[in-house]
Amino acid sequence: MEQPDSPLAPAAFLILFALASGDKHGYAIMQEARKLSDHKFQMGPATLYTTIQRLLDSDRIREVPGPEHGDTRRKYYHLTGAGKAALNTELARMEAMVKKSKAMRLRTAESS
Amino acid sequence: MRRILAQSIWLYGKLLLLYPGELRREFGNEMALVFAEDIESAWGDARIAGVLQIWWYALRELVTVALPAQRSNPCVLAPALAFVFVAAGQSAELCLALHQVTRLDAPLLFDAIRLLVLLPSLLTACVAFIVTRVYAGSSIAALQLD
Repeated sequence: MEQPDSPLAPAAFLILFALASGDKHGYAIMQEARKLSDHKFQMGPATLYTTIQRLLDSDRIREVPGPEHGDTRRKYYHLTGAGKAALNTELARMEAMVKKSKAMRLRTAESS
Repeated sequence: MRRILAQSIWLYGKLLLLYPGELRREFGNEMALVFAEDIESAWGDARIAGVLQIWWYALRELVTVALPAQRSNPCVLAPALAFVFVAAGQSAELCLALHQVTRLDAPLLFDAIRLLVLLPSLLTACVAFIVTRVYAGSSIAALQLD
């Protein structure tokens, strides 16, 4: 079982990040995740849905009804409070690591 | 819709059988829908190169997601591994052959993929499946070596 404050896997992080801008269905999440990673992180349907299943199990996202005239074959997903908290924790962790790397002069402010 | 897209979507639907039943029942239809949208979009953006890229991700996920989840089920694991290894070998041979070709039409490439890569890979997977099923029904421990 995943610990609540353990670092998120890249796919889970990008899915939560993609849902931060609103409810989405699977393909829209996949496209948004690609955009957010500047097309550097590619995931296929299996990675997408195994991660969605884990996030549903940990209550970080939940299924919601789609738009009234939307495609009925699709399921829509919503970021929960626990999901927002996990995303913020991960972002804070990343920020702290960048600060530390700058302090250690591994990375200059200009190169970021 | 192009034939290659329709056949890709059909084949991906069949490959979903390699994923665990729970995932398939819960998300199988959506996975097929996402694959279909992704491969259509890739065809629109980059034609055959886009389609091959989507297939590369799909086959990679068979190894990284489906097989680990089915590692205790030899009737899935053996045919899937046979398919992946033969497909990889045949794809490498096809790539070498294509280096020698100066001009290539999309239909010819599709036929080459179908006949040289998919057909032998599927045949090998079928043989592996039959062999696994046969051996699953007989006790290998009964063999005595002197």
